[in-house]
Amino acid sequence: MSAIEIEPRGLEPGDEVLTAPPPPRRRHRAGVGRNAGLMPYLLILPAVVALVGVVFYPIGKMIVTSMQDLTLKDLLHVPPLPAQWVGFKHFSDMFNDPDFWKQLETTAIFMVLNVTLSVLIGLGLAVLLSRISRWARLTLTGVMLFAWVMPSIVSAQLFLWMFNNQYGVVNWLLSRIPGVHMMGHDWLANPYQALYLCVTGVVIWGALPFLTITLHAGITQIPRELTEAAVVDGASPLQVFRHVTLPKLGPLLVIITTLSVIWDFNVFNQIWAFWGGIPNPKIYTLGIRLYVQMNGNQFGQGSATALFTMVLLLGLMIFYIRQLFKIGDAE
Amino acid sequence: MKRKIAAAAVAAVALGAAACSSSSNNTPSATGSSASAGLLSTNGAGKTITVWIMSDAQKGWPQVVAAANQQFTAATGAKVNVVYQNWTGYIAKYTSALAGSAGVPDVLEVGDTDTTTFAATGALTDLTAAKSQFDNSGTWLSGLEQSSTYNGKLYAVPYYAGDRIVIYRKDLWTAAGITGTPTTFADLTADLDKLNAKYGSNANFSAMLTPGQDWYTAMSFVYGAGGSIATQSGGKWTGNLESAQSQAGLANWATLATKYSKGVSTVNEANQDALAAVGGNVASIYGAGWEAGSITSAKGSSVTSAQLGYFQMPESAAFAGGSDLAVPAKSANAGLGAEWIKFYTNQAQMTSLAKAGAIPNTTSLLSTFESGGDADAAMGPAVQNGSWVTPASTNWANVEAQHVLENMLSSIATGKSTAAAAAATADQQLNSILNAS
Repeated sequence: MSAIEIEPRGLEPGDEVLTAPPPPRRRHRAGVGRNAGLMPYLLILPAVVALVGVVFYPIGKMIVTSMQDLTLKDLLHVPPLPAQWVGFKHFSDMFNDPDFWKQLETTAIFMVLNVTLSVLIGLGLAVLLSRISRWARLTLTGVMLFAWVMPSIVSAQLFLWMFNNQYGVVNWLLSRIPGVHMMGHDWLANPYQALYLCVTGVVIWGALPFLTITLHAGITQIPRELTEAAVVDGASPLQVFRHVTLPKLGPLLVIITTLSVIWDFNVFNQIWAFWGGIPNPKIYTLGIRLYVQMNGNQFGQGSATALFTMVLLLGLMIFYIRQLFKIGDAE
Repeated sequence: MKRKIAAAAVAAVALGAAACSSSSNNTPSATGSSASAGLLSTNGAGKTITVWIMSDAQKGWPQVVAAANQQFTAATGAKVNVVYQNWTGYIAKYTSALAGSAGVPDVLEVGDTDTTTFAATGALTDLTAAKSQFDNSGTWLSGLEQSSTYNGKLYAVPYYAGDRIVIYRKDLWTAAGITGTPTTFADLTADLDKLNAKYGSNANFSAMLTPGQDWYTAMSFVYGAGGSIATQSGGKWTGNLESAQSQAGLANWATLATKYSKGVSTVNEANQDALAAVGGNVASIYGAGWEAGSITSAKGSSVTSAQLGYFQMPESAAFAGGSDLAVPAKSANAGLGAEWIKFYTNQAQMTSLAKAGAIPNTTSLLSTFESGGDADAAMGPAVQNGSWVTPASTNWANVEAQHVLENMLSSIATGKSTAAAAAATADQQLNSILNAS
């Protein structure tokens, strides 16, 4: 069929002009890209104001205070006294103080112990959750949520009662084992035992619910076909775990381990409450050191300790944020 | 004409004088809040002062507070807003209140171990010029007056004192074959040995419950033996726990804590009443008179007040614990605040306080206090027979915050350290903390 040539004719009066619809212009959405205007900035202004007030201003003040000699007298004197600047003296004193290094070591050991145990046990419980029946899973999850919502001071106090030397239930239970005599055993007599056994117990007990439920959620995201294919190929449950589950959980594990490191480095409540407010100096962590300094009106030194801890943990945060970006990109 | 001008001039002067005097009457006593004034003021029409005192007053002697408020309002026309505080964490709360510029209270109750700390910061009004206007200022308890004075100036008014005595189970002591109460430490240990012989088979039995972190008790023995926590000479503090007398006192305390006390070597005295209320586990404690009430009224307690007796701890000096009342320098109504303190600590109110069971701030009313009961009768003489306060150093609060004494004592009580070694560490810490600028 030959094309029918239609000569375009010029417009003559009386013609209805049927023009093709104009080609679509680039869609102009208001408030996006170069056409955004002030709107986005106005919308995030309240959040920025809140952040500046609650986060950045106190941090700025803390940095300033860490370079001043600020005591109770400087705070309360009438009329107000001028600020006394000492530069980096607090930091050099801190790094030259052997107690500081011992406390840093205690904090690091405590953190490693807690993170390792809680992630391993959490992973185990998460795998368990994925294998049990529905009603058992709901019950276990419900129980764990109760454990999670309990304030740490309350749980530390309860654990303290359970570990009481004269009337505690732990000593009583252990003494039921034939050959074990634990009645009257004072768990606080050896401060290392109290910290690395009892307080670790409190911390892990409180940390497990979050880790377990998060890891379980990660496990449920693993496609069933992968595990089934592995089983069909003759893999044992342990090999399935090692070669299918763990690699898939990798990114999530990095995130929760980083979070656990930060949280366990900063543990304060449980240690403080377990010792009734007077921890043994042998097991001071950096958090306890900071509190004692602030409570003792040594605000300059306390700010220096706080700044050091913050910078140290910010370095660890880099892993967390990088991992978040990786997951975001993958989506 | 001259008479009219003169009359007009006289009228003008009279009006001017009246205006000037009335305006000076209306000047708020905020101008008196400069540290040196301390003048009492009765000009309070239309004003309300804020008083921060501890909840002990609300529970123990509310009638004293009510009477003081009533008399104060009648004399000044100002209203009183009493806000009751708690001891826990109160220093931090007071610090933030005093550091601010608004909402500063007009009267503060401060524990006597902390008054010097606040006075040294310059946050309290100097009341020296007005001292004679407070009732019984000539016979104030020496421990409380010492705590209220800094650099020779008076910065607070003594309020009430606390004291410690031995509270013991008469039934358990009698059953162990003890008659009478001991007057020397040797007698005391002999009696405690008899108790151990009779009840020692109970693994939880303590003849004299002595918590390992209770530094008030331990220091009572140190001062009772003639020692002290720290001495000051030429503006420099030196820890004194290693001296022979302090060591003798610590040795006495260590005997009680290790030989006659079970299960409390790592804790302080907060729960000793609860432990004493459990059946026959505790034969005696060292505590304030009101703790007897805590023991008998504890939930599930099987101890009755008839079973409790009291005596002074031998060879110890009672800790002059208590409170002082101060006026913040930043207060807007400093003169009125001081006036309120005058009414709250006057003869009538102090007598009422003594009858309510608190040790009044003056030796002249101690007999009124002692007539309140057996515990009070034992506590009164204890206050008079040598009492001690913590070193009047501006840095004492830091010593408490770092728990220097508690750590020393619990290492002795748990056997981790000898008294001499632990005292050496503590003295080192005291030297550095007390002398910090």
